[in-house]
Amino acid sequence: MIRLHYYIVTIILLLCCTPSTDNAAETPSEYQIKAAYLYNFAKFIRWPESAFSDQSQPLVIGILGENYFDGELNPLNSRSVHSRPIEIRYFRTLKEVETCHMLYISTYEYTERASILKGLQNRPVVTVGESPQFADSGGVIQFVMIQRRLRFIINLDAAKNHQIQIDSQLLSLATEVLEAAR
Amino acid sequence: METPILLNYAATLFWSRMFYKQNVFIKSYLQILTLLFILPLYSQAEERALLDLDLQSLMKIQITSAGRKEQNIADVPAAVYVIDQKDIEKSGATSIPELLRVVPGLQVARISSSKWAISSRGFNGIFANKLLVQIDGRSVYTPSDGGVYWDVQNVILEDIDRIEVIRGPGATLWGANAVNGVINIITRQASDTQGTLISVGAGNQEQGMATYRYGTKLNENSYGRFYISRHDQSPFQFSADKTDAHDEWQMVNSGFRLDGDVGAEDGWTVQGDLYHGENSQRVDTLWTPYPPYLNQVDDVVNSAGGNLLARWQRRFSDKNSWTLQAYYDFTDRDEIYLGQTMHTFDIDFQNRLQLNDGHDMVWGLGYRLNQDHFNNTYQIELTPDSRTDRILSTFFQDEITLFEEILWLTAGSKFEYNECTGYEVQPNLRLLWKPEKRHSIWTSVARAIRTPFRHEDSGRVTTLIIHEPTFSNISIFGSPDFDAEHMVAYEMGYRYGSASNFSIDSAIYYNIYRDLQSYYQESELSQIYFVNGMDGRSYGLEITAAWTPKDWINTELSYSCIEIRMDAQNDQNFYVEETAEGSTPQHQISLMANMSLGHNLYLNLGGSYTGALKAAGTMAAEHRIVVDDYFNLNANIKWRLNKELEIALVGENLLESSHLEFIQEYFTSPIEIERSFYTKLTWKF
Repeated sequence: MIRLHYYIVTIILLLCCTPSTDNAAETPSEYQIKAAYLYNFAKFIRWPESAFSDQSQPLVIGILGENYFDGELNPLNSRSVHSRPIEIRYFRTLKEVETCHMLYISTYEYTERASILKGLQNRPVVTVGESPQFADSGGVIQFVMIQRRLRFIINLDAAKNHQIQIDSQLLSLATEVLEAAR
Repeated sequence: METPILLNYAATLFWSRMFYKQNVFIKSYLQILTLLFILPLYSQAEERALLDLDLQSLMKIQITSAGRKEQNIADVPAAVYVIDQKDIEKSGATSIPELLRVVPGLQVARISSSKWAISSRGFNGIFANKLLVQIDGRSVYTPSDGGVYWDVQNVILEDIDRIEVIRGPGATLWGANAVNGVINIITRQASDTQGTLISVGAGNQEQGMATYRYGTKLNENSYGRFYISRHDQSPFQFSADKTDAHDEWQMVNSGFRLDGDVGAEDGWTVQGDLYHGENSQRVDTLWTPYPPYLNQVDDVVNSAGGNLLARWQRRFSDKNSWTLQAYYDFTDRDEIYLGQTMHTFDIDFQNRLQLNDGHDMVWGLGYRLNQDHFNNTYQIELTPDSRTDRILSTFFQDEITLFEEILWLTAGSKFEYNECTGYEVQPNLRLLWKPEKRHSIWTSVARAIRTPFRHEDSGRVTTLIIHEPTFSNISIFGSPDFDAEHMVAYEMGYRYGSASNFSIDSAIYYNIYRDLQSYYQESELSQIYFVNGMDGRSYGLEITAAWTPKDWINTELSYSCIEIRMDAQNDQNFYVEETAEGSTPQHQISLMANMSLGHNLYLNLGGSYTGALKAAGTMAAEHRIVVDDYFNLNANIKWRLNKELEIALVGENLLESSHLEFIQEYFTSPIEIERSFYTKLTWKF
């Protein structure tokens, strides 16, 4: 008897539900949001003249290491920043990284990360990461998750070492700005 | 008795009036259908491109855990197994005990339709007392008899974020009675369970189950959800003669959860649940002081309960945060041989602090009050019939980085004062070594205790009545002299993990037990007493290997083995040694395969082997009844019709039409678990 009622409800639901309008827009995933952040960071950052060979050279945003973004960065390929088209590249090792203006560093291994940051010293590239103490160790921008929302820490000294200028508007939105006391 | 939510109450009243002659179940499903039409459909009309949002808008978006990827699972110097929401989705399990079967080192045995014996590293029984179980930080271990009533732990499986199973002593962080393990069931945040979920299922053993859950954003900073669900289970059969075991049961539960943020530093949660259930059981050994003395009775167990929990978290920075939590829990259970009500109030504070010189510390303070009331019967009597126990505790733990990225030492201890046994100290020392990126080795030594439960220190349980030549009642008596059980555990583990498709997790342990519960009886017809008269040791191995050979299939193999050696003084005829040694299978194997077949079809297979139980309980030991070893196969197929709808076809215990898994120590005859099929429809929108 009880089973019959469950079957009835199942049938009613099957008849009721009209799988049509996709009105439940899904909340964006973590890496979709990070991709949007990278795009926004680029808008507020000025690279030195030496970073580009000419006016039309694309702005290269690269991923070094494990690609957690999957395809979420693809929409950026059709966008541009400072009238330069964006180009997304994926690198496996530091050696492969030649021209790159913003590099997202995936690794959480401290020794690996330290050698990558050292290898990129003085090059005009914005290093972005989210491993613990990334900004403390010399990374320019570090993602942090606070109350389930994505925030970021900026290491202004590291930016200066990479000849990167960061707009004050972006600095004001950062959770923390690291710079040596003057 | 049902839910406190106004709307649902109104619906109940309405349907009660309309269909007052019908049975309770019709009212339940009509309620669910009413809610379907009353509450607004969750809608999110905005479809702005994410890339067009400015930074300020991006910063407001909350990230749900569905979108989260686990990249850096911190190495824990303990034997931990995590069941996450994806594992729950792939399994055909309809209850938490069934989900736990795949964990190596855990023994999960189904006693009847509504009862399970679950333990970690030995000593299994319906009142397995060396395992602590918590739901969102609220203990569901029953202090009166030392076990967990699994039939009333009914969290909606879709709302579980993860289940962390830690085998080995979790005493330092979680306190006494976590001697051989801790199971932490953590539910999802309200922001992760948005929208409406309706699921309905029915089968031959799972007579029926229905769940309704609705989650919504309350304002800019807070989210909430509400749920109601019902589960009806068919009876199984007696092992002896395959007749109906009269152990069917039904459970209705309902609850809510609210989560919110205040500023950038604070977060709060309030959650609560209510349940009401009815289990049937045939009690075979009910003693009465008049003929026929030993009775067989069909009992209906009424259980009801609820809880309310509130938590506040403040995060000063990445390195400093604290949490304050308080909860109230009440449970009421009415069985023919005892009625009991328990009220628990608990308040807990924890602070996490990381210092720059390589110290990651956690410390905390806690206060718990348990008040019980018993409706004594001739069979079981607790004296006094009502008592209030208080426990005060504090703990600290420091993870010290000895060599950055290579060696960590964790030292800590819990200090407890309880009114039964006084002061107890449970220290713990762990070492974690990562010689290379993918390999890690850990080792641990810890002390843990199990405090006496009410029957052991102030109870009387009738075990035999002799009426000729004179009337005599022989019972087991508890005494205030009954002490806590002690254990020292030495453990070691090894983990290998390559980022992608293969990993191994293993642990070995050697436990030394002292003052375990046993019995003392001066001569054959004198009274029996609970005493701490058994010592012993156990050792074993647990290993899990996970392999993803192709991207459409992932597999997992687990193996565990255990050897228990006990030594009881005056064992006489109680078989305590045999029961402790024989209530756990020596070998257990589990193999899982999850496959994406394409066209939105998913196939999940789970096979297992469980070794024999030479003496599942005193009764089994006495009559030399062995629970045979058995192979098992569970399989389920899921078809995702579209984004909103999913149909599942599940088969469990497929290999035999019925098999025996455990024999309850007392009161009921052995019951066999039968082959089961069910279908389930899930609608999310």
